[in-house]
Amino acid sequence: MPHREKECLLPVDRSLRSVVVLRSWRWQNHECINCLRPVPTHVCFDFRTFVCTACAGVHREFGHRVAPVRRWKCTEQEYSDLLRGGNARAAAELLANWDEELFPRPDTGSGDVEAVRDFIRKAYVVKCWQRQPPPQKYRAGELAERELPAQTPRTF
Amino acid sequence: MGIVFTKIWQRMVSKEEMRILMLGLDAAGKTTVLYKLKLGEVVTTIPTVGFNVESVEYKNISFTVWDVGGQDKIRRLWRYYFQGTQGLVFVVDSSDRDRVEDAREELMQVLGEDEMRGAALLVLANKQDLPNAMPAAELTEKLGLPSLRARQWYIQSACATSGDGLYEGMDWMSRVLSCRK
Repeated sequence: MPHREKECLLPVDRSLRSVVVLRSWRWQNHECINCLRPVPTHVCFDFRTFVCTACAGVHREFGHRVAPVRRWKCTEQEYSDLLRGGNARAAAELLANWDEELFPRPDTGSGDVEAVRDFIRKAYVVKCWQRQPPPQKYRAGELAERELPAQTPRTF
Repeated sequence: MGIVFTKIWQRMVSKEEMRILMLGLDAAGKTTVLYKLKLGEVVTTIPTVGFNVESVEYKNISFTVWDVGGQDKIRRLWRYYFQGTQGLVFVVDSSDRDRVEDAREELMQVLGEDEMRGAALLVLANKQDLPNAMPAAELTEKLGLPSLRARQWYIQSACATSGDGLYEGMDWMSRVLSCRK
C-alpha cells in the first residue's frame, strides 16, 4: 500500500492560525513580494512566497500552485517547506541580480496586468535574475553552500 | 572506474546553464533570432525597449539568452547586463553597409569592458537572404575581427526568418562553453 501523505496533521484551527502567523511572522511577509502591496492574501507554494491577489492570478496562469492564505489547509510537508521560505529568502535567491532601475517593479494598483505578467515570467519562469553560482575557482573550496536551517516562527 | 562512470553519467544527465547576451545595432534582428530559437517561428516584433529574456535548451545546455534593445539611446544600458555573461552573440544586419562601421565601434567598446574579458564571441551575419548582403568573409574584415587577440570568436552567416545558421551558431557556442568546464 502506498504511503499516503498525512493530510493536515495540524488541527484545522491551529493550521489556520499558523498561516496568519506565518504571514506576519517576519516583516517581509507583510507585503507582496512582487508589487509590495501590503497584506498579501495568497501563498505561492512553488517559490514559498506571499503574494497579493493580482500577482496570485498571474502565478496561476503560469501553472504555479497558489492558495489563498485564509483557506489554506496544509500538510505537514508544506508547512515545514514554507517555514524554510518566505519572501526575503525567495527574493535573495530569485531576485538577486535584479536591478529596480533597469526593470521597474510592476504596479498592480494601476491594473497593468501585462507588466505583472512580464515581471513574473522573467523572475520566476525564466529565472533570469536568480543568484549565479559562485565562479569555479571558489566553488571547490570550503565555501560549499549549506542548507539553510528551517526557521521557526516567533510566537505572537 | 567509478569516476569514469560518474563522468559519463554527468555528461549525459547534467544540465549546464549558460548566460548569453545578445547585442547589436537596432533593427539587426536580435528579437527575431531569440524567438526563432525559442519558439521556432517568426514573430512580429516591435523595437525592444528594455530587454527580452528566454531560456533556450540546446544539447544539454540551458542557455539563458538576454536580448537587449539596440537603439542608440539605450545602448549605454548594455553594460548593466555584462555581469556573469559567458557568451556574447553580436547580431549584424549584413545588408546595412552604411552602419557596419557603427557596429564595429559598438562591438569593440563592448569587448573592451573588463566584465566581458572571458566571454566567447559569436557574430551572426543576419539577413543573408536580402540582395546585396555582405558575405561573412567581408563582414569579418569590416568588423575588424581578425585583430582580436585572446578571444574565441566565430562568425556565422544566418537568416533569422528562415532559421538558417542559428543552430550552427549555437552549436559553436555550446562546444566552446562546454570545453571550458
